[in-house]
Amino acid sequence: MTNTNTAISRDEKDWQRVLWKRLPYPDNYVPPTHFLASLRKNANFTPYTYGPLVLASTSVCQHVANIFIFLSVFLRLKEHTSNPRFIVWLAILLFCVGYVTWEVLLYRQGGTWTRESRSRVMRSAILVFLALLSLAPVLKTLTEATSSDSIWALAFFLFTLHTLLADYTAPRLQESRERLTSVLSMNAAISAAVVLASRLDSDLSVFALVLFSVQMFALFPLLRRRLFSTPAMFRAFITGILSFASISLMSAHSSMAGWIVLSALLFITFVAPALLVWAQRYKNEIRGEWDVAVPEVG
Amino acid sequence: MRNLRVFWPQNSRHNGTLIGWLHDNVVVIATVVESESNIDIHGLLEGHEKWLELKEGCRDTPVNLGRVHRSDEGFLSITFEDKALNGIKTHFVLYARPSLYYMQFYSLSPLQLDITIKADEATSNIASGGRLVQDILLEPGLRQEQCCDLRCITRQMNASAVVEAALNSSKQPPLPTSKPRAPSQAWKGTRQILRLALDSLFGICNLPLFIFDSTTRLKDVSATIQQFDVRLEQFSFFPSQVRLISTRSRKDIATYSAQYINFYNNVWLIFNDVVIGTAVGTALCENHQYLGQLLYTYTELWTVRYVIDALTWLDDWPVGLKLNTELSRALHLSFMAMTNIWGYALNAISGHLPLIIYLMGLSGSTGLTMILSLSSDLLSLLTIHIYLSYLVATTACHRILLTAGSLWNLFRGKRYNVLQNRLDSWDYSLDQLLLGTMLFTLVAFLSPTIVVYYGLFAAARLVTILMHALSETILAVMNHFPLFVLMLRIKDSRRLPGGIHFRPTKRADIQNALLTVKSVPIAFSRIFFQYLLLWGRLSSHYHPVRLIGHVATASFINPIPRYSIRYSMLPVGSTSPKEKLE
Repeated sequence: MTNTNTAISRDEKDWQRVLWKRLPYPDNYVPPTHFLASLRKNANFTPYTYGPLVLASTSVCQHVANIFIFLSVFLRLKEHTSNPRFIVWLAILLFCVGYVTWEVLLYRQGGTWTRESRSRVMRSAILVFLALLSLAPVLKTLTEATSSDSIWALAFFLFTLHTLLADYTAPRLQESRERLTSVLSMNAAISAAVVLASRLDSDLSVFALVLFSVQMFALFPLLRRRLFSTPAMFRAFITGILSFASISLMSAHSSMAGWIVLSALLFITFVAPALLVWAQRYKNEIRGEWDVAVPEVG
Repeated sequence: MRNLRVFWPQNSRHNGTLIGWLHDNVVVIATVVESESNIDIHGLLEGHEKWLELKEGCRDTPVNLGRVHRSDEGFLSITFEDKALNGIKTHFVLYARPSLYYMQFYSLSPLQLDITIKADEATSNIASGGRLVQDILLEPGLRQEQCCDLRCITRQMNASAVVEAALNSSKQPPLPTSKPRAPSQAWKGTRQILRLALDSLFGICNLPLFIFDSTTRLKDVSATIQQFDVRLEQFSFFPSQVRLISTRSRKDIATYSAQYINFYNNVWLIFNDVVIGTAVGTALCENHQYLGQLLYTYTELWTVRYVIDALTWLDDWPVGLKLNTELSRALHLSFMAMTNIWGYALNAISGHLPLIIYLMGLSGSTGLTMILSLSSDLLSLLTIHIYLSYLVATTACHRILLTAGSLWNLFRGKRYNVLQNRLDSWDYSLDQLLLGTMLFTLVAFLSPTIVVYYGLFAAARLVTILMHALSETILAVMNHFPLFVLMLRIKDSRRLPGGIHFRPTKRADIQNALLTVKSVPIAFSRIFFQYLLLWGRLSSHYHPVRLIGHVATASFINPIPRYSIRYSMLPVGSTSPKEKLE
């Protein structure tokens, strides 16, 4: 062993990691200075900055605000403070506004829609409308036998699932499919809406609530992904409107609820990004030559 | 050749001329003749009809082998014609001569009672058995070519009684060969009519019922028709069987014996059936009023009143389960309507129930099996409303469960790929997702109601199926029980040979006797071979795990198809029943 040690100190500069030459040191020898020299810490690390993070968390905020708007509509319908017809017209109005916005954004981004896809959208919209109309009486008596507490618990669970699994990322440049988790989140939200709607009294209110929930939970997330390409001010503006609407609607029922919604939204928008930025200092990602290589394309 | 084995018939005289066969180191003695002069063995045997049938199996005619002499201590000594064999140490193996008239015989392989298997399949298993026994008789060190042919030896042993009878009787006139009678005209006419009648009856029994599917025949639906069909089949084969048995052929004694045993077993079973059936039938006829009343009260109680009570209990939040009220009420009303209609029908026929029981008793004179099958049909008629309700409930529950499964897949965003038999992620369109989710919530809340109603009728159906199974088992026992074979086994087990044993013996009159040949009767598993088969089929069909699996997935439970229980006892290669009458 000693003569290899002396051999090593001499050939440190001549050390090569090749196996096709007969070298004086063993095959797996690495000199101490070279050892773990290729270790990189936090190599591709660009730390989050506060501003863009806040902007990105506005989508989470919109989602949560959506849920609270829906809950307040449900409470109004349950206590008969709103007219179900008004809700139906509101839902139809929202559909038209959203459709127009979609077309405008599409035009701005340069993509066009064929007539075929437009007619398909119209067809499926009418189909869903009519199907809801016919299913509403059946849905009304669905959970008559179950107690209210189980229904609230079930709805809470389903809405939590919806919030956790929703797709908050920006869409990629090319048109790609919805991810699986976003399908599950949408299904969970629709189920929660159906379950809550079965607590209502009249067929029309059931229909109104379910139609409204379809607008809120199925169509609005699609629109929101499109909105990522608009300037930041516009997105912040939309978020502000939604939050304000949710807070005011909820506080109309009870001030406690209004305060809860306000604090939740503030937490999500401002406090959580700060926490994330603060936690970046603990990031410790190690990469080296032993990892899977990342190809550089282009 | 250092040792000579001599197969010596018991109860033969000890002094005289030996007639038998000679093998390499085995000598089989057929008989010991007293006369000193050379008798014309060949001439006597060739004139004997029964020997001619056996001659082929025994390889050649027996020859004069030499003389035997018994010493005073009891040692037999043989002086052979062939001088080379004298002086070799002889061991005597005793055997009792089997009487072929009574169909006793030795056999190396077990008697094949299953006459539906072809003969050449059965005899292929003999070779390995014979080889083992040969090792007992051989000296170590001998090559395989010098083995004795044990099969030939057994055939020669079987033929020894015939040889003795032929040689001991004086020259007798040859037996008149029976000529086939020319059938008379009247017989031909009756045969035509019989054939027509049997044809039509068979056609009725095998009528395909197209409302179910093209393979369901009338005899699969009704137990009575099935029993009728079994009897018809047995009767249509009787003439040919009788003719076969009356030939008394000795050539292929194993097949003949099996057919004889089966024929008489069937005859005995039918007689038993008729006797017991007449007894039970008269009991039924005498008490038909009382039994009719009893039947009506119990049927009404069990199939109508209890069902209505159960349905009412289910409608009212059973066991605290909160069922969907509207759906529960709809199901309750429809099943209640069916049961009430049946209640009225039962009321209407209640006056005729004693008459039905009287008719059943009358039919008992054709056999207990007929009474059993009629009662099985009566049971299925009386519970027909449960059957129909079960049909409806099963279809509904099965569809609901299938729908729930596929909607659950839609909820998770997956789809069942039939080509690859797996679940794939699938991109549903938005309206499919919306409607699918809503329907899924709907189905999830409605399925407990349907499952509960299905459970009630599934339980009722299980009970009726088990009662049917019981009656079918008893029918199978009565149709195929091997009474005759059991009696033979007890009375004369040499008629059911299953192999040979060699036992060491000591006999006072023959001191140099070494072994005795004993016939081993066939094992009970072979006697009950039909039952093992039937039991296998019954237990696999009515297996509890299988039944519970069917109930859990709401698949339709059907009683065992009757053709798989009925074991056909007809010989293979038999043509259709129409031609058998000729």
